[in-house]
Amino acid sequence: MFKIVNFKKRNVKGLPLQKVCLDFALAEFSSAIEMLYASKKVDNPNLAIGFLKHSLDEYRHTNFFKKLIVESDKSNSKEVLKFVPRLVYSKGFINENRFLFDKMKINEFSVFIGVNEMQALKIFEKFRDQNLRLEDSIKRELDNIIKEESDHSLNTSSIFINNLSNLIIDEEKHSRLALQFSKKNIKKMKYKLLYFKYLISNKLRHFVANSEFTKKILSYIIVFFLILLTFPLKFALNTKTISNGFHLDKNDANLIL
Amino acid sequence: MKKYIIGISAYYHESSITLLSENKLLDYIKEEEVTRVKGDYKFPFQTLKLIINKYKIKNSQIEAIVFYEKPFLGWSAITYNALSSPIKKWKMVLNQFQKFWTGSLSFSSDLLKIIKIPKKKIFYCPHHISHALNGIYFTSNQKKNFLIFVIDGIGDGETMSIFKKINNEIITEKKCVYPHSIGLFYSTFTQFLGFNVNEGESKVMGLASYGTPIFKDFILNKIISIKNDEILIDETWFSFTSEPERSYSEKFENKFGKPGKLIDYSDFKSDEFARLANIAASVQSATEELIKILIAIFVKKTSIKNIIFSGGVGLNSRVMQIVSEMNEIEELTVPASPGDAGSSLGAAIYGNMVLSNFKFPEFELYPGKFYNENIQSNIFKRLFKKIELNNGIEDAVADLIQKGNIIATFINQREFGPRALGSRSLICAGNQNKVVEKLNIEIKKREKFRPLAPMIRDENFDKYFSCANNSKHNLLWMGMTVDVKEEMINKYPKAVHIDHTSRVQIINKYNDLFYSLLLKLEQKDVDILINTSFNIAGDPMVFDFVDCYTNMKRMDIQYLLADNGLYKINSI
Ligand SMILES: [Fe+2]
Ligand SMILES: [Fe+2]
Ligand SMILES: [Fe+2]
Repeated sequence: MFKIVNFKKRNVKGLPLQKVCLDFALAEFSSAIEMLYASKKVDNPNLAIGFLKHSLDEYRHTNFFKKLIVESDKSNSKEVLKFVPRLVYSKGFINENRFLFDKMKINEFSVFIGVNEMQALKIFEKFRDQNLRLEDSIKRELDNIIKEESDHSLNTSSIFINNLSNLIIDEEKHSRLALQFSKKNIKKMKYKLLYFKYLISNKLRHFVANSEFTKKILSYIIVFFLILLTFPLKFALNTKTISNGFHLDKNDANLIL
Repeated sequence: MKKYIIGISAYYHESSITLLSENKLLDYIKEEEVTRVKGDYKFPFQTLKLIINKYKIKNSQIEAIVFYEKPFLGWSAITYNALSSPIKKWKMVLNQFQKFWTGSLSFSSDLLKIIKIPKKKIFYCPHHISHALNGIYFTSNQKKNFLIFVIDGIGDGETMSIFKKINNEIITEKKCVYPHSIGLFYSTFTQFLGFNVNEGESKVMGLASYGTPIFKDFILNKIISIKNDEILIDETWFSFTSEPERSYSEKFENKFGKPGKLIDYSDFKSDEFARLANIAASVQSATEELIKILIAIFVKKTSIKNIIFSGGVGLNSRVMQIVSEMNEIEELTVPASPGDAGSSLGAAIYGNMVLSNFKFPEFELYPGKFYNENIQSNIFKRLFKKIELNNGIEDAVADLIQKGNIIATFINQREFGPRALGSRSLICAGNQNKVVEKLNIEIKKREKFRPLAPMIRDENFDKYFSCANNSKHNLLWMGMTVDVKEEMINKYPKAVHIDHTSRVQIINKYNDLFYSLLLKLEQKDVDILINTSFNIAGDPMVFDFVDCYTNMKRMDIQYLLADNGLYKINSI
């Protein structure tokens, strides 16, 4: 889970379970595809396999929450929530123009995941302890996921550290990578710095995500003025022109209307 | 130095890129295949980067980058409509102004994030012309004259265009504009029935055969009709003009009852299933009726009987069958990807034509070069184990299939369009009912009411199916359904829809591996293979061998047929 779902004890009661599950499913899904992408891009085969395994876990977690979305839909609620993959963009789980792995260096990436997996774990624990009316089998599955998340958070840092030494030993093959790593000379200090960097940036992201209400009010005000402003210009937007004849005119090709 | 033309479609349906060079269709990739986000609609950043790297394209080699629509037109049409009653449609107004920065209008700025080319090399092809050119490309003879129907949800503010293609000219015969749209009408019902818009339309089509069209007349009298060659909807039934997220109005709900939910479809025998199936049947047969009326009117008017049907409505393979059987027409062509996802091809062809003459690229149904040069890599070897073969590969695969195995394929080049045509398919023997059922329900998690599609050698076609002969070429890419014969129902019931149709793919010698595989299987009394796309439910089709691995792992499939051999999956 890379973007942490906004989930606090006090707002779970107000929120339909379905909504929380949708967010969880999207979060798990986005980490599945981020890890998959990383596994295709990373040079080191051991890391690639590690990322791939991680990705498969996240796909399973996604399915679990997708199932919960459908299960919790037995109610007569009017609003029907559905898992639609493309929501990962509009809800900000994944950046539109690049994956994390392209944005970060591999060591940053690993630390980032470590931090996020740990936070995901905490949130799932909270979720489990909410005493929601969940069936036993579902609770058991959730426990399993929590266990896996804690493995992920441990693993990513240990995969990283283990592989770092492997990488350096395997100099011949991966000299470029090894060089990068040794240059960076990641010691505990650097790791800690990165760790806090992502911890803080996560908190900041939550702050922004939580200010949705303010954003909404602002956009209402903006749209009110927009309507006022554009209403007189409305007729300029009436571009219904019907063109006949030759459609492959070089002169029209560069026009946006 | 090679010259390239890049066509791009984006921002609403699955975005895609088509690469043309020297009158050849070099590649076609959907962004969702690369990002693994099904229905990925955003600007195809990843695909564009990938194509530029793969073909080592330098800026100076790019002759044109062509977008599949005129960005301002689509935005202005909807905004104009919304501003006509801004109080009632305030949500739409808000949405339109928010979208001003993120939709088609941001095309050139998104493009420039990846590639710096002068603005004069950026072309914008009219939306329905993209669809039309895409259609002409798939005809058996591009020199003929055609009557082209483009019918979709909305594009450039238009909902239907009818063109005449006469020699080297494309002439507009008729246009209908937003909100009077057959595509949006169908999508509204799709949403009401509980499916995702842009993806669930085919489910509505499948569901329709289980119901009785009890609302058909009501729909055609009250909701949508053709008046004086124009599509006309009564807006009070819809809310897509006022709300960006919801398509049907309260009045609609009062008439048709509670909206459907996925859970309603689990029990075939329930009243709820029957109620929803009747609604699906009604919208489907109303749509068939509308399209038939339109075609009859314009064939009569223009006296052109060679029809091309493009635009999103062309994805409705049952409607296409009905059109192909109309007495009024001579032949029908539906392109392999009639929707917006296929329009990057039309856009690229437009670029080609603007720059040179009225010339179509050479036909290629499998343009996608696989990115599997790494098949010898260490990672591949850790994921898959090659099976040593004593005989030919077709013998080994035929054996496995006869023993009831499901085989995943990753061969030759990727197919164009939404359907798996063998390159990225899951296949099994057509006569093994249990295996077919397992593949459909357990593995692909498809709805029980949607059968899988058969694959057959061209020479055996008449034994099991019947089809309007001049339209048979559409079956190379599963462009329409056809009626099945008694023999098919008896021998391969699992590949037949409840209405006794199938969306069959015919295999000719061009597709040599499948051709010889089918020949081998015929010796074992299996002349039909089941073919479904190689992807787990909710995911895009596989793109590289890592996707093959994750998908096989998640679906628990053991065998992979690749270009250079047969493989078994390893555990990691
Ligand atoms: Fe997870
Ligand atoms: Fe995790
Ligand atoms: Fe379209």
